[in-house]
Amino acid sequence: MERQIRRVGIALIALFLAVFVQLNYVQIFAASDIANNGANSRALIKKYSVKRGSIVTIDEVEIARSVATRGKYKYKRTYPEGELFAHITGYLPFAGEATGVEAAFNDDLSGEGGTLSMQDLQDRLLGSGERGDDVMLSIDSRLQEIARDSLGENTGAIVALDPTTGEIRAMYSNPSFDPNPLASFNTGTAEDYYQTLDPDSGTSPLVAVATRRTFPPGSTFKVLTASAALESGRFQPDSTFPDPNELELPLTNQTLTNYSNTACTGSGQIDLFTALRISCDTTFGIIGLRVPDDIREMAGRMGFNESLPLEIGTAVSRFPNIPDDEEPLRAYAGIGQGEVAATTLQMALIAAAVANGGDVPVPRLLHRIIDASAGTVSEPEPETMGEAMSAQNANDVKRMMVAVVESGTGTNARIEGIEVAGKTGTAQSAEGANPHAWFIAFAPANDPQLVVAVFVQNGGSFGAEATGGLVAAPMAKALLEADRRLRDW
Amino acid sequence: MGMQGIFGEGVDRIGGEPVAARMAKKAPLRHLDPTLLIITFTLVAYGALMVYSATAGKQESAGLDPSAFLNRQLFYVTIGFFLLLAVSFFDYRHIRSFTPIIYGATVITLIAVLIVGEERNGTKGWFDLGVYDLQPAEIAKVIVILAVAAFLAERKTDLGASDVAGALAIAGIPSFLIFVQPDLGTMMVFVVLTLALLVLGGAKLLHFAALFAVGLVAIVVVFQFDVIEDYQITRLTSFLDATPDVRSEGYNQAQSLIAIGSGGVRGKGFRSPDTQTTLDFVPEQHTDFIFTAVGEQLGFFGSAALLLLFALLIWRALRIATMSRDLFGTLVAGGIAAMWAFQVFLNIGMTMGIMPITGVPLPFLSFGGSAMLANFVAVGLLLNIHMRRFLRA
Repeated sequence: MERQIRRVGIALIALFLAVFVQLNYVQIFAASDIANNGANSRALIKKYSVKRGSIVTIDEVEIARSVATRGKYKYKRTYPEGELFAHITGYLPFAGEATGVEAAFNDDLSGEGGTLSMQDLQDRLLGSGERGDDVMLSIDSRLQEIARDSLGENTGAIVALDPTTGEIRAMYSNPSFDPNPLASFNTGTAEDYYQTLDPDSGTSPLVAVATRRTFPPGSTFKVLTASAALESGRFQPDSTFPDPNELELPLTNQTLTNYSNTACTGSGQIDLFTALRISCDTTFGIIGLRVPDDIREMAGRMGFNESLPLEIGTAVSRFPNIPDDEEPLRAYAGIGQGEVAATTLQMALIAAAVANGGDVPVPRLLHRIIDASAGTVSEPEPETMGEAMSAQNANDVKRMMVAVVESGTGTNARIEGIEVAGKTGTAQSAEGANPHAWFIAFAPANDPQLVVAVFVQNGGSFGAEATGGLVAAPMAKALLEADRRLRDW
Repeated sequence: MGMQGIFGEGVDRIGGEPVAARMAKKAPLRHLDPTLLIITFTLVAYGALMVYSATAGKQESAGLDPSAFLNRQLFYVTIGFFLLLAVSFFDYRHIRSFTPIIYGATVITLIAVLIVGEERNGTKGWFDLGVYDLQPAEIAKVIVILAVAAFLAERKTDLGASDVAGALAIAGIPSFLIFVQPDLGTMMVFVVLTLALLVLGGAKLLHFAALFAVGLVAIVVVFQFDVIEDYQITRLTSFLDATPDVRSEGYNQAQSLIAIGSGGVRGKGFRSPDTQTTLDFVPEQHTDFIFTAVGEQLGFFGSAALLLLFALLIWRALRIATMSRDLFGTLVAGGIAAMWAFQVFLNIGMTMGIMPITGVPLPFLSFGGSAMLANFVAVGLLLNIHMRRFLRA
């Protein structure tokens, strides 16, 4: 009996020794490393001791602000507009990394920026009124609300930007989330809410559709294909193409058919201008096969295959490099299908390049930084990502896009009294799933003020009946009309 | 033979005298183990202070009574103490005769909790009794020790394969019911205490080899056929990740480790401001993560002192196992020692990142009624065995 008890006793002593050894490690050997961990409370107290600057919209609505508390942490971060700006502001979690504008402009907001003004120095010496700078975004809260309301229950995104400055005036993704609980001092509350957002899935509301998710752009991509065709020098708007019932693809017995399953004009041939106006798939399939390298280069110039230079970062839109032995895929690439996948923001930039005379503006959210205590303001200069095409070619593509809205597939975006340029997209997604509805547009055509890109995943409430013209064009129109009212153009 | 036979004959008369009458005369208080009582109450006092420190700040900031959790814990301790008195009063061999009934009731309760129980953090293991939430799995630990010990004691250390199988069946039924709640931590405690009882009961090396093989097959089955949920696998394996993402499954563990580590050698002091403890950083700190309050506030000295107290407690239990007048007493005392030791290992190991996160409380320290009552019953049983060590077997 004694022997058995001794055996059990030895096993139990071993368990205690394991715990004791680890206790030595945690509290003696690794203690200082652990104490300096970012999630440690002392670091956090410091983080919340400064009145962090506000994030405001261009129409001066506060969308993130620090509120004084009576607790140990002097200021609490709140987001008065809830889910409306969540993907833009991001959130400042109690434990963990900030996201969105909170992260991108953290140095300014927290007052730890590289530049130290005399006022800053004075504040610090006197220990008075230490606070961060305010960040004013180019987003217009009124336009943002219209974007949200237009999307309604549909999963998708709307991006609206000024093509000459690249300033984003609205960018809303549905689904969104409420950043307030995520910024809670109660880590349990934050964690519980975080888990309800299904954080590990690609379709989590935390992942903004507009900037972080890519989808086949379908026919909206034809704007880029047409631009590439013109830039190649081999085609003009009046260049004619055969208009077959179906396009036979090389290397296989597969064919590419039009949305209508018939030829586009029935006259046996079709010109490029008409092909874009009525969104003829076979024509752009042919262009995809004829000038694949030009299209790929054009895609690169417009921002594909790398992250866009937006302050809060974006997912990479993809245009594949298709080898010769997979040539049929080039026809699909020409119509924005196959392996082509783009963010809504990327599609807005394609329209912006056309609107902006061929130059691709750098998209941005920052309008200006305001040092509240010193009263100084710093404002970034507009930049471009480079020239995607000549002004002449941009103008030709613009005329085609105007025709789309006047008498083509995008008539639902027509606005009385001004010329609207646009392009529809009805993109095949997964086998058996309803198509995605797209629309990219800008207006007025002669002096573009606003570019809008609309994406509705799987056609939203319209289901299998959805087309870009039916679902997305009216939403783009709503944004254009609202901005016209707001800015009086 | 009926159930009674399986567990061995109960003894309600010794030497022709009714047990109760004999005990009043013979079960001498002078054979009490005061050391065990002192250790127990030191642990309880230690725990009460820690529960207070882990809850007072949060309560205050919510405008509630800062002592609410402390008072509640002390209430559990009081009830526990009366249970201890009751359990140590009757000769444990008398208790043994009731084992089949208690065991049956426990199994029924564990089935009932699966049907009408409350679910918390994905585990269906509580009865909401209004003023008090009963967690039957905690009580079941002690009952299973009694039941398996009664069964094995009858076999007098000469265990055959069928005896081992019988003991496993007795422990297996409640273990399975707890497994499906699912409460993997408590189930692990059951596995360990059953193994300890088998060693004490005289199971042979061959038996353990066979058990090991069966266990391996069971693990494969569990993982292959999705018997447990993905989140449980994540929770069980996240401790292997050395740098856990603070926003993920490793979050509790990270916060817990930070709290203990930042305590350092001397600790930050009891209820000192700026601690993870007073700032409510560690989720479930007053219950499963109570050790973080010890580690952060009282440092290595306080933590090591607590480990020493637990070591003394286990030593006392094992000592009583050696002194018992019969095999049943030895098995019960040894089983209790294994239960406490493994829970201490699992719980403190979890807070320091060497064991997975499971909902196993730290004996006598964690806030909670069911565990406190069960642990006091265990102390009562130990005292009972100790007091009657000189009585005729």
